Amino acid sequence: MTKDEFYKTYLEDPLLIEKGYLTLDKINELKFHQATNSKLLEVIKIAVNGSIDGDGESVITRKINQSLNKES
Amino acid sequence: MELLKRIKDRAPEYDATHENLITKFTLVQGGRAGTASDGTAWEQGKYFSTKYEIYMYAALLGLKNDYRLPISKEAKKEKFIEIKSWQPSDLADYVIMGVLAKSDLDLNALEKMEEAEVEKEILGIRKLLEDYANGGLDKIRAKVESDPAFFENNDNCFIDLLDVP
Amino acid sequence: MCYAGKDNCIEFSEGINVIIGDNGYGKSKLYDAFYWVMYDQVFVPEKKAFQSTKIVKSKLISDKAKAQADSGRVTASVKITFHNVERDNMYILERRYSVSIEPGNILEDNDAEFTIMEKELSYLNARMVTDEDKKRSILNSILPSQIKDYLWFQGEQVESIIDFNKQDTLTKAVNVLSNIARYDAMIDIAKAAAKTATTEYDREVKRMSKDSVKSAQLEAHKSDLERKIQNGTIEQQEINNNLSRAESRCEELLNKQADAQKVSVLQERKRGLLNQLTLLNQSLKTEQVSFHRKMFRNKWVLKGTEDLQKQYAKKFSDYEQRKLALEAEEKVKREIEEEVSSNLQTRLPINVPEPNYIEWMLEKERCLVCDREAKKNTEAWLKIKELLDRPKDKKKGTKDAAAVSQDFSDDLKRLYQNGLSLSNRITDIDDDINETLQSRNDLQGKVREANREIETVDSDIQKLLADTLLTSEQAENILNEYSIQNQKAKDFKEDLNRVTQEIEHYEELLKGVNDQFKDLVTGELPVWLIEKREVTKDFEVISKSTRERVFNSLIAQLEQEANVHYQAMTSGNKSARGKIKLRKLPNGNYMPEIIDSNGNPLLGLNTSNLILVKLSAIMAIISAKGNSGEVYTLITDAPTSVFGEDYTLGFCKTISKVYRQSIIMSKEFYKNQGLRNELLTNPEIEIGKVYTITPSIFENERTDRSNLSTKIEALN
Repeated sequence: MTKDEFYKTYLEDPLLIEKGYLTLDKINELKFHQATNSKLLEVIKIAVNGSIDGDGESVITRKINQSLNKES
Repeated sequence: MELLKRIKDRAPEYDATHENLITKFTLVQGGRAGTASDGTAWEQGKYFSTKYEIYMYAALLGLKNDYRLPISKEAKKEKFIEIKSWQPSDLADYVIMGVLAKSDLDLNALEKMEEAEVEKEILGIRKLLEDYANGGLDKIRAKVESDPAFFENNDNCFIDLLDVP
Repeated sequence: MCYAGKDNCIEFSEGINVIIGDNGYGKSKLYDAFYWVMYDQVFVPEKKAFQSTKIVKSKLISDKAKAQADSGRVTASVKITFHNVERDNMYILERRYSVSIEPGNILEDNDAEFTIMEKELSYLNARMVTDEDKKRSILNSILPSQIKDYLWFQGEQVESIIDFNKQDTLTKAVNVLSNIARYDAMIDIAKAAAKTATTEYDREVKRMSKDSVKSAQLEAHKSDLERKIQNGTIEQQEINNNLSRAESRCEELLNKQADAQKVSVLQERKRGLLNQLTLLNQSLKTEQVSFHRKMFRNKWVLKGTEDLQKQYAKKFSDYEQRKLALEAEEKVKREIEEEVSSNLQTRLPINVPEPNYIEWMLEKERCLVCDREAKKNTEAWLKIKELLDRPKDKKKGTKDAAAVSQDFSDDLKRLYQNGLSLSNRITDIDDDINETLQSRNDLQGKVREANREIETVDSDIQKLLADTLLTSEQAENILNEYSIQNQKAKDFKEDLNRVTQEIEHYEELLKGVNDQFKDLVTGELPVWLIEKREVTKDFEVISKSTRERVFNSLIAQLEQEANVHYQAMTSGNKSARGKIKLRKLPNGNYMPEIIDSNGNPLLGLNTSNLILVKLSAIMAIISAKGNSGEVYTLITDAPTSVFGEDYTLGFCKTISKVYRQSIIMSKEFYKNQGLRNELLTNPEIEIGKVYTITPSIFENERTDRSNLSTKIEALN
């Protein structure tokens, strides 16, 4: 499974649409390498990357925390 | 005294050499009269419940085939129960009838005889019965010897034997 | 079974290869051979498990081989050649196990030897592979460990290879289709991230609290609630598991119910037949006992004695006639005498004159009455003498009469009458005997028939029990167990409700506590922190729901693919076959069902349908993943033992479509010639090589195994 495919399965989650993170058509267009304004989507990318690359859980968690520690 | 009663008071004898043959086919009882049930005889593979039964059978066998075989004088003899105790009594009477028929006893003369003579004749009747029965037993023995299979797996053997000449 | 000998070699081609043999002929041994080479293990039926060579040891070697060798080494070896047609190379795998035989003793080796030879067909010779890693990779490429369970399996294992209600086998199956483990890993990551974010947030809230005492209290309360929620969640999971188990057991029982019903009906019938048999036997015994009594009671012993009676009758009638004649004679004699004496009586009264005067007259030879001469023996003298003789004659007469004293006629008559009535019955004896014999034979016939019927019913029962894996008691108790399980399910549902409500309640309280915490906060919490907490929480939720979604869609995919196979395999069968549905259980696992066109579960389907469902699922795993069926060989031993004819053919058709090469061992084609022909000639079946195996000695004669050997014959 490619990172893109893996990512896409998360984008399909109804919660994202519910909470207004995404719209339906946006999902189809969005590619893995594309930057988003959404912190959540970025977090998902970090997790996907780390998981497929074989990083340890603690490492990935740290990266996520780091990415969220900024003022947006 | 009545004739029949006097005859039936007698207890006939048989040749002891036939003992095995008799016990082979007859249920051995405790007392002489027989106490076991009909079922016991069948279960034990026997055909006759009492010795007098096989005796009657043998007597009739001998009588109808006219086979009279006196018991040899030296033979050891076994006695058993008096004829009056034989059951069914009408069969016993029939046997006696048969013996009388075969005997050359002069019935009319008998009536005129003295006590002692009558007694002698009656003894003669008994002996005649023994002879015919002995003949019947001999026939059975011969069949057992020549064709043991006849009796082995054949529940009907004694019935079939009624037909054998 | 015994494959000892040097030249037992079986070739397989593309398509479906079949090894046909009856039970006990050695099919399982062949399967064992394959498995042993690859995995150094054999299936031990008594333990229902695979055991390694180290444990099984000399049992691997056939008794015949052991018996034939007096001394030296005896080796069991299996060699499999895998030929990759596309790449034009071959791997030759060989495993050998040996023992040393001395008189009276067998020395077992500890391990088997295993070698792999590689041969590229453009080269002449094969090379030994020595590198252990390379060996492992070759083994894995022949049969990847991930899917080996779905490619090489025994009929007995089908039930357990995919147990949808067991997380491990279910996940394992789904994992083949797509790497679900990754999604589980993501959940862990999300949980961890959410946890750190929340911890950070809480700490900040606490730090900013205006009332540290109250904060501490709230903190304690919060941990307490969190603990309760955690415990509740664990309990919830447990209850869910229990509930799922109870629900799936209920469904299982409902399915078995139909079979159990059949068994029950048959057992009832058997009981009835046994009763009947007992009664018949009693009658027969009575009949047989009375049979011989009839010799005397029904007078059969008199057969052929009619002549006796006739002889006696003649004798008796002679006697009676003679007796009458005698009596008549007597009578006449008496009459004469009486006449004489009565004549005498008219002359003078008796004793007149008195005897001594008569004597005197006779002596004197003179009559004293008329005083005339009466010379001796003259008429006159004799007349005088007559007077004297008169009384004497009378006395003599009575003495004669006294001489005829016995009368046996009553007894003799009794004998006659008895004989007559008995002999009248003699003509009927033959008929009586025949009738009795007839009725006895009839009874015996009935007893034999009853026995046969009981045997048939019994074997039907045994077959059903074997097919459905029920025991006799289980069959009787299914309804009982069903109501127990049903009740359990109800109870668990109630518990579940209770716990869920408790958790909800605690979560409410927790929310309240958190709100109270917030109220204590002075100032503003940093926005990024609030966002961090929210984002990580969302991420946690999403990761869980995505995993669930992906898992469900994989299950749906599996279901769909399984249905393709199921429909194909059951298309030949006329009875209702329905559709496979994988129903989700409370604990997140699934239960396979067969549903009708309205979506309602079809109950009462027999065990063979359910096995088919499992087989369909197993095949779906291979076929859904793409081209696994093209690359790997299916090897299976007797999965068809539960099927009927129609299913067996459908199974073979489907297999030949899903797998490029398959090797199945089956007994179904052994006795059934028609089925065998169908297998060989049906155009929808890609048939490979077909062999029959037969032992030299049949099972029931096999007390001495040292002469056993196996004959392998190719049918095409």
